[in-house]
Amino acid sequence: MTKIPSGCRIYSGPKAASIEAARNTFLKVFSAFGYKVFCPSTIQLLSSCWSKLPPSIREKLIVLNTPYGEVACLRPDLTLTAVSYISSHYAPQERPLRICYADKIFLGPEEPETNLEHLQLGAELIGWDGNGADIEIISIMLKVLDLLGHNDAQVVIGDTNIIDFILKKTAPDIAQSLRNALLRQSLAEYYSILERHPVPQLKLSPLLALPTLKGETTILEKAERLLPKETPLEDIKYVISSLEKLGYAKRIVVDFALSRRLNYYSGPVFEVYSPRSKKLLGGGGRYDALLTSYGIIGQAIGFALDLEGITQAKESNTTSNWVMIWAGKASPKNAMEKANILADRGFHVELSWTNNRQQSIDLAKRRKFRWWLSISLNKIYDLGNACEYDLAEWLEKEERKC
Amino acid sequence: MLTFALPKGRMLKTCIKLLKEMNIPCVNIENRGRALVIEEEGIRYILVKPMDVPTYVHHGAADVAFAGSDVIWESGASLVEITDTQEGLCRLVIAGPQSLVNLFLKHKSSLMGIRIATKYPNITKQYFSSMGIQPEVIPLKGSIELAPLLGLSDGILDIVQTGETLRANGLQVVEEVTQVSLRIIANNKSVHEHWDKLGRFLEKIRILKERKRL
Repeated sequence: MTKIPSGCRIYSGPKAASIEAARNTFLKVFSAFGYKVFCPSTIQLLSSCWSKLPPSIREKLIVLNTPYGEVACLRPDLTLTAVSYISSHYAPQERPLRICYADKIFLGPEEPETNLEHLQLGAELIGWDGNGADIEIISIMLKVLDLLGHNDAQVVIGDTNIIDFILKKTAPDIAQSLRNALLRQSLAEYYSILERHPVPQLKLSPLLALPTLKGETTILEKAERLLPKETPLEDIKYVISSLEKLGYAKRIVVDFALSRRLNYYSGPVFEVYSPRSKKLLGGGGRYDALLTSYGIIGQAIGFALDLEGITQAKESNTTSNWVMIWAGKASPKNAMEKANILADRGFHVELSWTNNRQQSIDLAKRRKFRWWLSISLNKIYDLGNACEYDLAEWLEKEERKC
Repeated sequence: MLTFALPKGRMLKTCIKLLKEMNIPCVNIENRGRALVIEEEGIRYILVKPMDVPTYVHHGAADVAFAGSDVIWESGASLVEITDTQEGLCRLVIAGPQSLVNLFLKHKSSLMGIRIATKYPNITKQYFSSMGIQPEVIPLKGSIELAPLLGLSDGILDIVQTGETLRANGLQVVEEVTQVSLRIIANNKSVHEHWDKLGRFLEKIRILKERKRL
């Protein structure tokens, strides 16, 4: 295979290893908190997702016909798939449900980007009411980010209920235009609408203030001063104070105008950025209204992270202990036994079956392995520092280090 | 450090004027020589082709930039439009010879397959498709007005300031697509990282616009 379709990618080597490691870490951590791994089908019926998708996503669906003549599309969103599955396969008494996934979504390219496939990590918590669910999912996500080397990643938190509350004080058509401007992230358009459609002064000041209320958590005090007293600030305040108590104070940024592009969010929402990645790593939020559209009454929160974005940043930090094992004239059994011992102790090993000692050393150097082990001599060499150790002694030393 | 992308060429003067009015240090840009990266008091300015500005911001190579609303639309980039400076005002129009005017006067169906030369292929496709028309887009990099004169296209979609170039080439405006102005745009991540600075830009532009109105 020399050519692959435009917009698709093949990963191998360290990049593929990093992706797999990040995927495993994510699923392991969420599984430990009771999240069940979910493996949805890649091809979905168009009729099951069309009405739930915003026009911006519908335009980018990769539509196809199955060999059975069904009109289908490649999975454009994992949350929808999960909610759809849960609504039809779980009885109300089986909730709350926690699921996590690491899979691909497929969408037409969004200029100036070119890729059609996006690797996503995500989790959903469905049917557990109250802010505890928000805290749970955000704090586990932060724990995973820490483990993946993003211990300075920031979470930007907003609340769509606050936006709705402020906008509902204007005429419905103006409110819709303002909401669309925020969704398109155009403050220029937002303020231009307010200039073109005069709003009474009393209602105007919160509308003017809303997009400027961004920054550290101290902005909450400013919001309380500038927004009407009845503004529903309790949820965002509770989420932020709880995360602060969990030690994430420096990782939180507030944005009162934060509007996620998918239109199914209805409550606290968040986005994740890392200093080592120039783009959005992902985000999520509460989507109770989407749940209702599937006939489930209750609360739901979830998020998705860009797996490539996370591992891109992580890749440069990875350090591995690789050992090239030269069997030489020793038996394969002997070589495999030593390889097993090292692999069990967390080393990455590669077996070299050549009879030529120098060829094996050269290969290890080319691959930038630190260690080279001669099975017949029972000695291990530190290729970087040109030192030689007896294998048993070296293993003992390494064990003490651990 | 804040990386600020500025469009090279015609709009650069307007951008420098705005930076001065906003009290943002920019002396070194005027004395830049051939340098494309200029640093001044905690700001790194980069000079890029106007059409490339949104791409730099989208990918995070620049935190903030001045860009025309036409190039923002054309790029389709995901970024935050901080404010409309109301500078660099012009119009994005469909223009052509009298034959195009006549064509537009007929039933809409006669526009199907219309050949439009433009620097804005994405906008052209979006604009005509919103009318249910599939145009044949002829992408050009410059001297767009030549295309209908030489029969390469039926009309053009381009920016017009005074309309002088159009008139000089026997073309006239058939339809206005949108008003164009210079915007301050920012990268999604930079909005949260540098809102203390970007919020001030928003406020300064608001004050400038107020002053102009008075």
